[in-house]
Amino acid sequence: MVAVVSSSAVVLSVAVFVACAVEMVEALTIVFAVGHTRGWGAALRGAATALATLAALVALFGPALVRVPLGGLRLVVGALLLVFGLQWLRKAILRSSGLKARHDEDAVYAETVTELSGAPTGPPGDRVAFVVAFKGVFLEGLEVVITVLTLGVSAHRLTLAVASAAAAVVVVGVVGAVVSRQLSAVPENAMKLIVGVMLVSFGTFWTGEGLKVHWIGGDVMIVGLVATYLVVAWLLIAWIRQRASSVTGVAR
Amino acid sequence: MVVNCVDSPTRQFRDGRGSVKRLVVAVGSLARGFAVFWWEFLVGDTPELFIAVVALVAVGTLVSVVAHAHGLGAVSLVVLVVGALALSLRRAAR
Repeated sequence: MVAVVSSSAVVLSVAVFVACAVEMVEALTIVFAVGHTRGWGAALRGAATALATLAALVALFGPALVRVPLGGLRLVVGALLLVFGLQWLRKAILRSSGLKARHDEDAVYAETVTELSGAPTGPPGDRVAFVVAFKGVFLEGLEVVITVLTLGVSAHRLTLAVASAAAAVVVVGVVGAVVSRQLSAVPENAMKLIVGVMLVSFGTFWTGEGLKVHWIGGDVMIVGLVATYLVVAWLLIAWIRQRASSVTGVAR
Repeated sequence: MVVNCVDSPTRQFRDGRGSVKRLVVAVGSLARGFAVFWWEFLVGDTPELFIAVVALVAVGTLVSVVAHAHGLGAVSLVVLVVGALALSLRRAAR
């Protein structure tokens, strides 16, 4: 039996998986900093509570959103994904072209350790450690929840989106536990660029669907949009780099 | 004479008003937090991208829904997205 998997399902899984992995790396850095500094009990409790809260949000809003009429939902979701995706893509392009400092997990780790070292040490049920770990995982995870809900509901593949996000949580969690503290080696900026391109592609596609535009090839056009925006991102990185170097040249 | 104020109607009324006030403050702070979250999420430090997406939806509606040019609508969406991104990057690079 040949399994037929649509291209949009593959792109959706990859987009959710990579988006979730990027945010998980950032959240895990904070949890590691808390665990190493204040003990693992409260750090893991905080992280687990945040994950449970995020899962509850998906369970609460997912089925409710499925009942909203698809045309209007796709337009709203598409516009939301466009704003969100353009912000990610802009940041990734600025980092790739050297105009913005890259996200440094080592610096985030050191900063969190310094903050926690100054705080008074608590009992086994350390409240500060719990709150910092909870906040780190919850805030990073909220972006994932929005991505999962918007992409999953619009494509009528909420289960697939949730499964992809859960897989990313497990994979990054296991890899992170093995390599411990070496999360700075993860090519976060490249991942962010890919997620940005995918979110913008889905955003353009769903906005178009909401506005009843005609996409050549139907759902397959998502792959075409991903390819187009990847080329555009590459050209924009080259343009910004050239612009920055010419400005530096004039300043000299 | 000792008056038991613990369960007096005045005390109960005052307690009731106090808890309503606390509830209003809590709801207000939740609503404010919710609004701030969405403002930061959608607008943040790149208001031009938010405005561009609103404009893009408006143009897409005019082209596709009003003028019924569905093919042109698809092309115009992609062109406007690329244009918005380029303009925002140009602003950042300045």
